[in-house]
Amino acid sequence: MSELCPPWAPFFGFAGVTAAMTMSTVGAAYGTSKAGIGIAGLGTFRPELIMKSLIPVVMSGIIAVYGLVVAVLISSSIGPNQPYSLFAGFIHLAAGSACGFTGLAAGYAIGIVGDACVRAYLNESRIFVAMVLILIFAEVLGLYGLIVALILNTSIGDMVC
Amino acid sequence: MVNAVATGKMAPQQGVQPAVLYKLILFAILMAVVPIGTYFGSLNYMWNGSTTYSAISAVVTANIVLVGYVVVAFEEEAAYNTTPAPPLLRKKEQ
Repeated sequence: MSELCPPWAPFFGFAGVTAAMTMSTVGAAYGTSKAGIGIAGLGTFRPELIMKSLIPVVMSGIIAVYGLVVAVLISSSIGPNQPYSLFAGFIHLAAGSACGFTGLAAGYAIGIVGDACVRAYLNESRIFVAMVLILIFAEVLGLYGLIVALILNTSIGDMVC
Repeated sequence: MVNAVATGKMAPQQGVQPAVLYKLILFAILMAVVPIGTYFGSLNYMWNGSTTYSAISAVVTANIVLVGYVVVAFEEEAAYNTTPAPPLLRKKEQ
């Protein structure tokens, strides 16, 4: 193995895969659970509003999908028979961490906003549009991390050992 | 002689309506399958192996599933508001 492609380079690549998948899932889990608390509260009084108030839960699911897509994207370029440079390992670590931690932030925001807005939706139905707008802005935070991960991934180029 | 719908056992006001459950299961399956399916499907057939474009397609289709869910949720609320209340059960026997 040369200096540019040491055998321990895939460690960083797989660390990026793990960071992308697990951190975004932690964010999505927090979003789902916190919004679910509010939905359970709303469901006891107005069960017909449950389908509309499940929107924060669906958006948390999308945050986890962002992490999944980046994890699959990174892991598809690491293999036992392909050369893998240390530069590529660092880039994949950065890409996975960017997607993962922004997903954590987005899921946190979706959870808190979903909980509060769903409880308020019980009393005031016009808060629904505001809730969807705030949720869209919260989800775009995760999308920014995915965009950075994609841009980083394309700057690897050819792996030269 | 006792109609399950009229006595309220399957009425929307009580318990779980099966149609709601089927919709939720459908969207759960869609959310799980559509993005990753789009990623792998478009990787070789649409973008000639470019992983960036197929990742973008996966994100776009995941958001399309979200928009579809919002539309279905709005339709369901509109249907709930326009259907008349079920008739009250009147005891015919004396």
